[in-house]
Amino acid sequence: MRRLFLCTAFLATATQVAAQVKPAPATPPATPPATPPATAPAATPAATPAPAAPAQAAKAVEPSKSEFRVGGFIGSGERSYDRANNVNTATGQIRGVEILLRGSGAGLYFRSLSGTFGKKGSTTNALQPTIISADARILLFAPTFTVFGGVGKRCVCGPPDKIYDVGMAGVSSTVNIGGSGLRTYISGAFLVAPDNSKPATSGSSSKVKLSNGLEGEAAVFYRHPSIPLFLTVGYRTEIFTGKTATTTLPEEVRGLRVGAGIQFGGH
Amino acid sequence: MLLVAVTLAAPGVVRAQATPIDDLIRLSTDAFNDLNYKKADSVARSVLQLSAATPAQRARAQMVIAASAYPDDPAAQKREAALATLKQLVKANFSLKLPQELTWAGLDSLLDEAKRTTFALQVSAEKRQTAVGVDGTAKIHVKSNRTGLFRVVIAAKSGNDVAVVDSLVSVREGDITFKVMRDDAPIFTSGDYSITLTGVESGGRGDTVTVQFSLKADAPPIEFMKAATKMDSTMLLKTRSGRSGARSIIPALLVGGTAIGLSSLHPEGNLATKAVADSKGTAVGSVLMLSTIIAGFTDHGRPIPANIAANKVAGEVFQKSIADALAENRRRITEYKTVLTFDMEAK
Repeated sequence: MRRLFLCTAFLATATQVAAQVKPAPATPPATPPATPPATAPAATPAATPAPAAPAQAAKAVEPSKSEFRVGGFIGSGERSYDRANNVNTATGQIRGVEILLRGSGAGLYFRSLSGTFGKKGSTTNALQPTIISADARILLFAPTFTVFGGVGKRCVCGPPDKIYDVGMAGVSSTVNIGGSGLRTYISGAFLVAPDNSKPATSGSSSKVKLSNGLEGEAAVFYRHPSIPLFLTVGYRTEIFTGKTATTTLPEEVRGLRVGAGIQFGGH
Repeated sequence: MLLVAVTLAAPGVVRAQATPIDDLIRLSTDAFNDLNYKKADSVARSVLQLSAATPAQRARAQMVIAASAYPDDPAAQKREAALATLKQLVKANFSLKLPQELTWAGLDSLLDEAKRTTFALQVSAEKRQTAVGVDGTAKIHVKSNRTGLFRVVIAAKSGNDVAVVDSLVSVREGDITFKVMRDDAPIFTSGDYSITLTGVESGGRGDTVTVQFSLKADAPPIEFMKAATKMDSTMLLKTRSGRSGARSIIPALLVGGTAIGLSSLHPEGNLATKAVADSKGTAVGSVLMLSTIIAGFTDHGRPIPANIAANKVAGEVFQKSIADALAENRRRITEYKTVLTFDMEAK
């Protein structure tokens, strides 16, 4: 909880900064003269027609509040878990797809990923269970400060398989760096999953355990203003402590995340 | 005679009243009719001495001189002198006819001989000619008794700037037509011009006749609209917002710092104590931070569509103002009028 609090505070600070980074309206030039500079002698009876004064200065085009993004990503990272006081770490890859659809004040986000870590038969990089997860989130408020909540499933595919029904809540912030096409993105979410495993013995009334975790991500997205394709590079960490009535299995998955896809709006 | 001479000493007065010269001509004509040929010749020659005499008055005086040199009294006839005078007369007016009170059959025959043996021409022009636009022209009609080359030179009386040089080749009669504008500018400026028309007879003899007369031009300068050559840049609005620049530093620190922080985030338990931070996190965080800062400082700002559109409109208005000025100037050129008033009597 302490980490979640810190993460949330971090994002709140980012949101405040984002507001400052918003492009300032262009400063209008001095009021144009009613007539152009004299290019003809005063004696000339017909003076040069005065060009019409342009409209008053307007604001810069704001980033589109609507956005549609479909992309895939691949992560190179590592997974560690602690079983019976024995910490096991393996490197591997996470692949996934994500879809974002948002309007001015709300949106939807879907993500599916799967990660494999370690190699079969390796002693230094032993094969670990495959991690598969999928979630759907509802996004609220503007991209610079978004609160989201969602549900998903997370499978630590054994054997034996352990599937968690995960609920999540968090905040994220997307900041456009002027008109460069680059955006920074940070997000943090708290994960919680009730233990839905069957009791070992029928009729036992053990207390329901809640698995919990944190997920954080920091990334930059680049999209050329005239090409609806984006590239992203970032770092993602997910820590999760799976709990059952009898076991506690802490794990962490972290690593580099690169991706690309199609994006409309958002800039 | 002295009184007449004194009276004629003031040319302005003489031109205004003209009576004294006409009186002299009448006096010489009366003397001719009184058969006093010597006096007639003398008085007529005194007219030729007067600079104020018009070409018509000079021609009349020369007629009296020719008639006095070839009267019907054989004893008083000086045929060669009369013929020479008549040749001078017909050179610039080959259709000349002697007035009834001066001539007789013998003098008419001598005039015919003069016309036959002299290269003579006659120049005429419509007194007031108005030429419009760049293609507007004026013309001088030339008629000769023989084929020749005719060349006209029109020069300003003040300054002698030559305005027009034109010619006709191998013709006996024709119009010398000249434009009054050149390179979209009027050739003439308002003022007096002298026209010298020289005829050169074709063939071996090559007699030359020069006729001079005057032209008054009414040609005010064209007042062109001034078209601006460069758009006033102060009229243009900014087309982009300010660059992100230093404002990108804090987001850069946040995204980079978050990546670094996430790399050392661990769950509670042994992982918090035994697992080490991912070294890639620091590298990735640094890349995110640097790329954000670079993007911020290379940012040119966001486009401002309304201002871009306004500038486009201003540019179009500017271009239109130029086009309008050019069109107006073209109209002024095409409608420009030069009025030429020919005075065939004045040199």
